[in-house]
Amino acid sequence: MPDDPSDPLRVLPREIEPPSALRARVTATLRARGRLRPRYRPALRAAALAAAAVLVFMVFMAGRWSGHGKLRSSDARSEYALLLYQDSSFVDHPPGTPSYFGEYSAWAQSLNARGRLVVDRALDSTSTMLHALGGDVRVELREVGTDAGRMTGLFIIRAADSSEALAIARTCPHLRHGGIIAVRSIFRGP
Amino acid sequence: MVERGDERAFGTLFDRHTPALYALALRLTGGDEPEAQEVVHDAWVRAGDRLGSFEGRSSLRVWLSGIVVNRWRELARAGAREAGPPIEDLSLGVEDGALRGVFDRIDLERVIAALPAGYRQVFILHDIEGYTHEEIAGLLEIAAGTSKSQLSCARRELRRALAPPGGQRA
Repeated sequence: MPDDPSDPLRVLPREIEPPSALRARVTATLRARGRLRPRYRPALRAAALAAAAVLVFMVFMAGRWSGHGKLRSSDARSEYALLLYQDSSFVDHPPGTPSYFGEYSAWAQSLNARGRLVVDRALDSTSTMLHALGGDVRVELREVGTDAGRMTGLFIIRAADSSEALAIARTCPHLRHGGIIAVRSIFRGP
Repeated sequence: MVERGDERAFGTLFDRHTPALYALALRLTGGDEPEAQEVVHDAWVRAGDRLGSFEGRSSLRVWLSGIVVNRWRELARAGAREAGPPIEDLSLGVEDGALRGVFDRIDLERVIAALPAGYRQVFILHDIEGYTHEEIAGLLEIAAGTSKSQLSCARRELRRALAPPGGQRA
């Protein structure tokens, strides 16, 4: 029919370009389902390294602000997660210097010696996002970035695997309020 | 390569077929862009799950289009938006001739979008996408005669909607 010159429907386009974000979204979802392998991108490694660098800086500053490392009594019961982001200004680790794991492990041990450390883990570079949509809950894998919006809360949970973690996340009331939950797997260093 | 999870190969496949799938989804949803994007997203996810079982009995485009149609129908049912007469075994109708005349694209898109969903899907699949009644029957799990009846009704509706005031366009 489309080739028939007398067909009035020939004026209808058979192809319409979708929004460019659709491809990224489909790819992220297929990655989350294990159907696609992400291509290696140096930026991802840089992101993890930058996150670690910012963590060092933030904790260093926190230590200064807390008065030579002494916590107030009310702070002693608190725990904090420091979520680190990077931008293009991040400088990669110079060759010939100690590895990031070694550097951050040493730093973490110094914190631990002062009773400040609760958990030291690097986070995986992707998030599994859950959001409520039309009575359904969608699950997508995304690279960590600012597209998820401002972070307003954090839970650390224990789960046997990612499926159980997602099942727990689905029960969170945050979804009922239209919020988005990012489930971050915790990367264990060598 | 896509079956082995090659992201670059998948990107090529996506770019080749998605504009057609998106056009199909847009028409099925009556021009609802967010819903059409959901349909195409879900269709690719489903295709990703099933790509290994694609037997090549139809072209990949036809196979993907079928997934789009089925996903749209699922979403329409879930949202209780399956407007218009349900598809029943109405195999007694006589198929009308194809639509004739010269129409503006925007007018055509508008009246197609306004068709009841049951008519619209058969009209889009047959007259725009070029499926045969047998293929539509398999896709929608209806009888081929039902597909012909739905198409006849759709064309009649379109002629009525596109007719100039005070006259009937053939």
